[in-house]
Amino acid sequence: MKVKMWGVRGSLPAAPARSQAFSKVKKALESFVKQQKNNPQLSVDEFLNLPESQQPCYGGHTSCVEVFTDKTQLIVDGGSGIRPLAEHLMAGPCGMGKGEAHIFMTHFHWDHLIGLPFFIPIFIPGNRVHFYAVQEDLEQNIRRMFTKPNFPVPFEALGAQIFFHSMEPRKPQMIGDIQVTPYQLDHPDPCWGYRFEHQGRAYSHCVDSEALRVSRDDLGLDLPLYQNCNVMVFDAQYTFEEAIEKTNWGHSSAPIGLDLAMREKIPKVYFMHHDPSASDEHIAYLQRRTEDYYQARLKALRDSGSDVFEVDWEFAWDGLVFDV
Amino acid sequence: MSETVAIQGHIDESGTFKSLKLKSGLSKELQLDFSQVKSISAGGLRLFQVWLAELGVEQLVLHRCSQGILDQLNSLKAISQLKARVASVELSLKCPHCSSGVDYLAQRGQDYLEGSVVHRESLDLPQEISCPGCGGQVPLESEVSSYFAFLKHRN
Ligand SMILES: [Zn+2]
Ligand SMILES: [Zn+2]
Ligand SMILES: [Zn+2]
Repeated sequence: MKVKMWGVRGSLPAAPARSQAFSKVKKALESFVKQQKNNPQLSVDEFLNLPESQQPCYGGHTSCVEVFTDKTQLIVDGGSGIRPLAEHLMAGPCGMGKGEAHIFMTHFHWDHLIGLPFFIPIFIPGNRVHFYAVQEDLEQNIRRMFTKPNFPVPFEALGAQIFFHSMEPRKPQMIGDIQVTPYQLDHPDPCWGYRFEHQGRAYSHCVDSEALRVSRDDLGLDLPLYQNCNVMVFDAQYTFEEAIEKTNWGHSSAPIGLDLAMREKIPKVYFMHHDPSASDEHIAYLQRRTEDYYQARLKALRDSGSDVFEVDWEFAWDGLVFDV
Repeated sequence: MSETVAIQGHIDESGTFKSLKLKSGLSKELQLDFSQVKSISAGGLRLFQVWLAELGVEQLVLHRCSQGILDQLNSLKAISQLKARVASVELSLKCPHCSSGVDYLAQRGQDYLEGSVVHRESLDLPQEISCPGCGGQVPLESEVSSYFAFLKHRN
C-alpha cells in the first residue's frame, strides 16, 4: 500500500507570494555562489541534488491524500489538493468515462471540501464517484458544493453517477483490497480519522485533530486507530504553546503526535495541516523545535531506564509519496 | 513561604501527578521540588497545566530542576507557559581530571535571573568550580548555559 499527499496545508490554500519565491531564488543563488567558491567544479545539477526532504518547499494545497494499491485507489478529503489529483486521474479510465473514485470525507470544513468542484472526473458521464462518511449529513454537504450562486454547475447536472455511503463508527469496510475503519478525532465539528489496512500493514490518517485525548483510557474505543499502525499522519498545525493557547480550535502540535507514536510504537509519522500563514522557514522552525523535544524526551526516558521506542518523523509536503 | 512538595516519576498523559498529596488550604503559590521528576511529555505538561488551573495555583515555583528536565521544559517553552519561576537548578558535571561527578546547585537571584520589564535576563554562573574528588577546576558556565534557555522565553 502506498500513500500520496496531494495537499498538506490546513485551513486555507496558501500559494507562495512572489516575494517569498524571490527570496528563495536569491538565497539559493547566494548559497550556490558561496559553495562554488570552495568547489569551482560544482554544477547546478549537483547543487540542486538535495534529498527531497531537504528541499525547502512544503506546498500550499489543502487536505487531500491518496491511498492506493495495485488494485484499489482511495482518496481522503477533497481539499484543493484534489485538483492536481483529478488531472492525474484524467489520464486513466476517468478520462474516458470509465473510472471509479472513492472519496472518504473526514469532515466538512471548507479546507477539506474546497477542491471538489474542480474534481474533473465528477463531470464526466460514465464515471462513478463514491463518497463515504460517518456523518449523516454527507449528501447534503456534498450537494451544497455544487449550488448556484457559489458554483455555476448544479449538482443535478454533474455527469458522473454519484453514490453516498454512510459508514458505521469503528466498523471496518472493504473497498477493493483495502480495509477502511473510521475512528473519531478531537475536532470542534465531528471529524473522523481513518485506518487503512492492506496485507497486514496499516496507515492511520489522524487529521484534523486537536488530540485532546492521548491516554489509552481517554481514547477508549478510538485507541485502535493508533495501535499496530505502521505509518501515522498527524495534525501539527501549531507549535505546542500555540496549540495550548488555541484550545478547542481543533488542531494539535508535533510533540503530542510523538507522545502517541512513542507510546504506541508507531515507527513512522508525517505531520501535516500546516498553518496557511506558515512560511517554509516557519515549518523548518517547527521541525527544529520538534527535534529538540524528541531528543530531550528520548534522553530523559533512557536516563530513567524507561522503555524507549524511536520514531522516524517528518513534516509532509505536497507531492510526498510513501510506502506503508 | 509555603511548604515545598516533592513530585516524583513521569509527568505524562497518565496524570499520576494528580495523586500528589497537597496540604489542604493550598495557597495560590505552589512550591514543587522537581529533583525526582524523571521525564515530562507534551501530553503530560498539557494535563499538568489544567490541573494547576483547577487547583487555583497562580504562581508555580520549581526547585532543583535537573538538566534533563530543563531540556524538555525548554523544548516546549514550558516555563513561560506555566508562568513558573525556577528557584534552583541542579547541575551535574563530570570532572575532566578525575572523572568524578561534580554537582552545583544554581540559585535564582544569585546565579541567574529571568528577564522582566525592568531588567534583562542574566546568567552569572561561576566560570569554574572545584572538584571535591581531586581539587581540580571544572568548567561550568560554558558547559551548561543551554539549560538556561528558559530565561529568554517570554509569553
Ligand atoms: Zn482542516
Ligand atoms: Zn477542520
Ligand atoms: Zn576531579
